[in-house]
Amino acid sequence: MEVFAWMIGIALLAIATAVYLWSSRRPVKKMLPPAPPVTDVEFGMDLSPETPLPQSKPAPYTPELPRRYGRDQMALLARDPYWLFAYWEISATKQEEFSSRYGPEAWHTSRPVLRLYDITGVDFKGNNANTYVDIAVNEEADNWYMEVGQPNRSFCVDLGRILSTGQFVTLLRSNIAHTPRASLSERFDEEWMWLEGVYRSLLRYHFGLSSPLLLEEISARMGKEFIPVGISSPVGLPIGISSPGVSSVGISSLIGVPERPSPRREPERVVVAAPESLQKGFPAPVGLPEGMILPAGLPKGAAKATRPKPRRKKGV
Amino acid sequence: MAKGYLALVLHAHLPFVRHPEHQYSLEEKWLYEAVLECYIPLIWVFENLVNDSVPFRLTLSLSPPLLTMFADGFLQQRCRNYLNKLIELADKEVHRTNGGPFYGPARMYQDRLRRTQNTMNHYNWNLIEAFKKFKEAGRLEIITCAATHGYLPLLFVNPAAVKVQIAAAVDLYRKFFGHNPPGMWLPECAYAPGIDLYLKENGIRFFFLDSHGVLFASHRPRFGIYAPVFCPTGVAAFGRDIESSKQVWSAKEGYPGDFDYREYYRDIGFDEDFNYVRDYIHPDGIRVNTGLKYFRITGRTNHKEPYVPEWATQKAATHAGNFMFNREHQIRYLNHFMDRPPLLVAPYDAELFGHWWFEGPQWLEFLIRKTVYDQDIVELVTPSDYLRLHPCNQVVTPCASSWGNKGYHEVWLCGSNDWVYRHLHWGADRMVELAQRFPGSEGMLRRALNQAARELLLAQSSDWPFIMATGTMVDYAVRRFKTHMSNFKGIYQQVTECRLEDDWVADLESRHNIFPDIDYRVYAEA
Repeated sequence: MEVFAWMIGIALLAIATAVYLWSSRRPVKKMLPPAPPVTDVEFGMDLSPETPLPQSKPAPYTPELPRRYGRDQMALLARDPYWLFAYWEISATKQEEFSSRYGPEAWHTSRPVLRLYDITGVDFKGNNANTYVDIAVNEEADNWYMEVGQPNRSFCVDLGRILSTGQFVTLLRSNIAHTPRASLSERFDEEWMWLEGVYRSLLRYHFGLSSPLLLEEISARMGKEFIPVGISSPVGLPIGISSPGVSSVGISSLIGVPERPSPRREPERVVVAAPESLQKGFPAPVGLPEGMILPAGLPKGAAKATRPKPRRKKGV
Repeated sequence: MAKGYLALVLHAHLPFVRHPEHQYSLEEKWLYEAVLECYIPLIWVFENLVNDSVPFRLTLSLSPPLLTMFADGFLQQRCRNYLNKLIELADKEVHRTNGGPFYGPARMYQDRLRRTQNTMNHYNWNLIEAFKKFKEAGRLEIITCAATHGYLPLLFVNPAAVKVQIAAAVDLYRKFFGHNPPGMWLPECAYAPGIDLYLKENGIRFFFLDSHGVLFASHRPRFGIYAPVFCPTGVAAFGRDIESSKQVWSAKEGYPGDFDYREYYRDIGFDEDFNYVRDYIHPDGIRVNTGLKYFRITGRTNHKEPYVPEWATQKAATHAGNFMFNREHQIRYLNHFMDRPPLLVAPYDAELFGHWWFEGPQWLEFLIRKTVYDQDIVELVTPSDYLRLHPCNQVVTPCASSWGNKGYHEVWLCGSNDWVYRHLHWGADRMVELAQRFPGSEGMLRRALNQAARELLLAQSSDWPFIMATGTMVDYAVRRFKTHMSNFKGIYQQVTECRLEDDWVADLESRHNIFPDIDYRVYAEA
């Protein structure tokens, strides 16, 4: 009987050992090289190592950073032509000031709102924005993405509270952010600069010089429908402006925009380009005057000349 | 006379990875791999060309963290140990593979690693000496990059942060090369109007943008990306040529995916018996790449055939010829529309060449030789060369942009990394405050304030948000970011509360020893 029990014991031990050895070897055998990428990515960061740090070891110490620094701060960043990002922090002092001014209950009876101003071309004084839109945010939120869907415009945002009376009270105001352009500029007049401070304006013919491949590539990258510009047409690209992306707040759809110029038109557009160039098709480029050789090297300050005068129509 | 120009630009950068506190650091290995697989092979290319008196011109951007790490004695020593270990493995491999299909590539690695050792010894283990030599030979135009590769448009909320990213980089360049850098590679080609003002203040004459940064400029550039433009400040912006980028960069259509080229994803660190490679992988037994890779890409499946170096070399020559042919074609076409020779700007990450695309440096050498000797349509130039030849350029305001995914700032400002800017902006504001509060300082206080500037700069590196966004090694990026911010905050508090812990500051100085000559007061001048 005793022998039998011993035999069982030994058998169990053997099985356990076998299982242990097998399982400890297994992960090593299983280790495969990292899978090659399937998507068409660029090779930018391939130097990053392919293996995670060991799980067994305690993770190295990482200090924690404060969620807030006890200051009044609001920053606005343009992420791309269509989206803005804001973060903010309100100090306790600010909150107390609000309460002492509007009553001890006012904080709780009011609700936080982001008021986003379109201040394109405006010297913003707080009440002279082109348009604005209010975005309700959570009481706990301290950052927000805003879809504006409008390239090449300037924005500023206030964090404020709307009182039960409907009055908006500004607590913080951000810096100004400008959404990047998403298409070719429609400003065709040209200004040229000599490195040596000598300036010579050239003729103001314009032609967007782009091979179709180039535009295809841009359109692929931007996920936009891009209509190739014919070499002869200096007309700006008609581009769908609003972004199809998922939005936390789709502002363009929220605002009943009063007198907003068509988004396709450049706000700063100055029609100086000689209209006859549009008619003539592709104009031959004209070079610099012969013998216009300038000293090489670099300027302390490259001088800039005034805008070229409108070209006179030649008798054709 | 040439009908057009080609400007080849290589941007070399790694984040500052120096970890004397660890015996082994996976992140330091980024540096050693890049040195052995990219920078040394590129140096061989330049040596070959210079020895053969090939009159080439190429632009190379060396980021300040990279320059600092090249010159750092501690990292040089560790790099030497890394190389020695690898030579030991390569020697073993030559015996192991003898008579088999991998003997050829094994011998190749053995030769290359020994040659690497000779090259490193020749330059006293400091690669700056090598690049400087090619610069002085008139072949390389070496430019700089922002101090810690900070993503400038997102730091621009406080212009002082941008200003110092530029100024500290210029100072470091001057220290190593003895004169001001002619141009700057903006980290990630990230630009916003106004940044050029600080470039101008620091004597920078040009920078690079992705194609749409120039194309979408206002007013519309007459020559698109085929001629540089001047910002209103007079600093020149050069736009990336899309066609030449795609042929090299694209993982799907680009040259590097050719079936005869070396397969990156098969490495003996993963393929061979654990006990055999144990001494050459992570000390905790984690398998890592050794750099010894014996297969060619072969095809789209997992089936791989042995690498044949001669075939790959042949392909690199063919691809260089194809690239050349396409540029000639492109330039002939563009000549119809321009009153001056078109310029094609082809910028690449230097780390692409040799590490991922093993044959990249060979391709580059073939391309340069072919351009110089086999045709007369295209001439190699650097931005400074171009501006000397064509000093009159159109004035426009370039478009805010980057060369990251989707072309703007989203990679560096998204759900996984947007939290960093709250801290970075606070840090820049506090640094300016410190600089204004202490217009003069002595001894330990001065050292602490300078170290605060270093910690802030290190936290500003665009590599941290980038890694957070890509999702691999996120812990490391978060740790580095938080560590530097926390060090900055610690110094700020100790300084303002007059309770400096001298030993702690001294310890930080010794470990985070980038920009040894920085003067924190530069933040007050912005």
